[in-house]
Amino acid sequence: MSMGTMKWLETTQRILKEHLGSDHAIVQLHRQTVSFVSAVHGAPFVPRHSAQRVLSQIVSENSSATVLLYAPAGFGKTTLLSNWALSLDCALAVHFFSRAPEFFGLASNPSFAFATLSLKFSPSNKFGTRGEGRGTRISKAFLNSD
Amino acid sequence: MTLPETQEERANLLKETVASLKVPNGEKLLILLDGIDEADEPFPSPFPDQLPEGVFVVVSARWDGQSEMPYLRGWNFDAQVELGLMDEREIVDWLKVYGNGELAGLAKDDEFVMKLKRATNGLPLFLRFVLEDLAEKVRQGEMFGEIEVPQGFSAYIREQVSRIVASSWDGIPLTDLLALLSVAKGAIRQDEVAQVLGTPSETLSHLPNIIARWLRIGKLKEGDGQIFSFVHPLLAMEFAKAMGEKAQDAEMRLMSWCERWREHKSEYALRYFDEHLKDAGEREKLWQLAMDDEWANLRAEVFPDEPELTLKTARLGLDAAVEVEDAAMMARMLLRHVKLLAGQESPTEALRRGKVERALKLAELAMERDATVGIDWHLILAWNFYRRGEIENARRALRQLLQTYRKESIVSRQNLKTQILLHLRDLPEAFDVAMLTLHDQNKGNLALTWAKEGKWEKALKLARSMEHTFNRAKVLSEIAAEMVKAGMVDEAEKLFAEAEQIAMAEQEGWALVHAMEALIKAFWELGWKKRAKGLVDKVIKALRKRKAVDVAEPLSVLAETLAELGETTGAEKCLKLVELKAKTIGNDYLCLRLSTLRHASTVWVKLGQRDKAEQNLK
Repeated sequence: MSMGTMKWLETTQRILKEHLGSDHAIVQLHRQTVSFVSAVHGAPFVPRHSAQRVLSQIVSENSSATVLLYAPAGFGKTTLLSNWALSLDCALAVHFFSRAPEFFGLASNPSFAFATLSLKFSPSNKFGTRGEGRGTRISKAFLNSD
Repeated sequence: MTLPETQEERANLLKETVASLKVPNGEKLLILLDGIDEADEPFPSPFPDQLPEGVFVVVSARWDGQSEMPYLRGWNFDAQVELGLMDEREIVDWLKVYGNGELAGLAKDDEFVMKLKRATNGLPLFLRFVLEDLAEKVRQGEMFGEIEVPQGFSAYIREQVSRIVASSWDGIPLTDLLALLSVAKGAIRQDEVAQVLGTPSETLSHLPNIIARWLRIGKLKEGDGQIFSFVHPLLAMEFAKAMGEKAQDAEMRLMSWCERWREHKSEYALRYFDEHLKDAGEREKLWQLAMDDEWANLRAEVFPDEPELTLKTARLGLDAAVEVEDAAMMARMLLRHVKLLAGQESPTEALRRGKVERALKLAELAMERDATVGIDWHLILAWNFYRRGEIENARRALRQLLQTYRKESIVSRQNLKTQILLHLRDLPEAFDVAMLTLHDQNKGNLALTWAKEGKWEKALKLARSMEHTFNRAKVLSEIAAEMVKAGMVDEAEKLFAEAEQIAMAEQEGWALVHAMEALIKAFWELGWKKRAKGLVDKVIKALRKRKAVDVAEPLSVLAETLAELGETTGAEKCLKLVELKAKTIGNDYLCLRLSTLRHASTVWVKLGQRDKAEQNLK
């Protein structure tokens, strides 16, 4: 379990708060996300060997990829993804689509999800630096916050 | 960073942002999008087809691997990973780590594990509750050899419902509570639940485990009351199914209570009543609600940060009219939507009523509709906050502007922007706002103001961001002059050199003159007259070789500036060249020739040489 990733999520929260104010919907959404991830982080996790092995292989053997993890409801997709992602110790941008009450309708809105993720990569949020028109460079600090 | 208006534009922004990411060698970035089936509506992939090196996108969704699912349309996956049911090994792992080790002993019992797998089919959500049941038995010292679990999750939930119905807890309406939560559309607070069920709120403060185990009971903020929902959406569905008529009755009860929104003004009712009406097919009531001004006003009051909610009922009403192809109602709902949109108060009106969040949100909505208006509102709000001494709010308004900024289609109200930014220039965000929203001339004004205050870094950065090089050279010269006044001669010299280099590289004669004029003026005013004269010669030399139509008029303008400075020799040199060039301008440019000579005559008059002026006019 990577404390670095957790710390990074908390840093993101602080920076979003600085930029948007503590009551902004995106900040509330991120706060609930961190709280959700923290809860998962603290609970015992039963590894799902087969799916985890395949996911880890994809990440270690490829330079990039878009992957779908699928299963019917109640199979533990969210729990698996949260724990697996936290175990990787890499930079993590996460959005949980959820209609759970604590998200108050914010986490199921795709528009909010896109905005939140974009802001997480925003150079003005100090997560990356704009490099001579060659794109947003993810800094080391972004990748390893601790 | 700009935050555009529509969902589609935000998706495009995300796509572009991710496409431009640079991940250092050996590092990885994981973007996780969990439960896209839980989104309000399906959406195609907001990520580029070709991800940058080191970037991985992992998406999860409910899917059986075969059926056509709307939320998977528009996605191209490099790999699909199926998460299956839990196998025996995983069940053993779970037994080992469960709770405080109550079930660890059972992990060694292969036969028991097999039975557990058979009973639950390895469905994690099912197993979670069965393990909870088993751990409780262990804690109570009950022996069990057989697992008494009905086959299938639905049957299990039905059995649980029967147990709850049979249990008695004084004063706590357990089944009513479960039925209500199984049909609720979202967050429902303890006091709201109590009102719907007609029970004192305190009875819900400490729920027994027989019911609490199915629920997520939380608080939004410290000091808030409890909010309830099911732990997992599948549970809400299963409970609604298992409770049958009871759930339907609960829905009717909830809707009847929502209908009394005027009386209790509950947040749940104000947020979800229109959705309930839409789903229940109560179109007439929905349309009535959409037309109700009190409903719209109350929503705006209760949810000041979510002005878009005011428009939602009209949108749902429109959807309902489309479903039954009621053209007249479609038109009515559309008009209502427009009316609500137009009738929204302005950000400053909201601010006058002390509604800071609403004012900011309205400015954001204004930006979505019209970038020019949106930028103005943000600046006006920031200025208002600043004048009232609310510095943090002023900064928030500027930050929001930076985040929601969209490029204006036309250049407008630059002077207003500059004036406000001049007032706000001490705020850290003012610089970024100026970089985004101001055009050359106005950037120049602000840059020079900063230079006069000794804020060199901001001044130079803003000046160097100016689009047109001749403007840039002019402002750099002016800043350099300020540096000399501040005793920073070495730095100023470098800047003068930079400005001269930019100016002399200009291809157009007028641009070269415009840029060099500022430099000459700066030298002259600093008392560096010899250097100024040298620059005049340099300009004349550079322009002598160029085409007459390109340089005659700009030279006459330079001559006028020099005349006004009192540098008569330079002015005369320029005018002589103007006359020489003007004579070579052909009849195709007759107007230019005449206007140039007329202007040159004016300058001769300023120099006190009327004869030369008259000669030109002839």
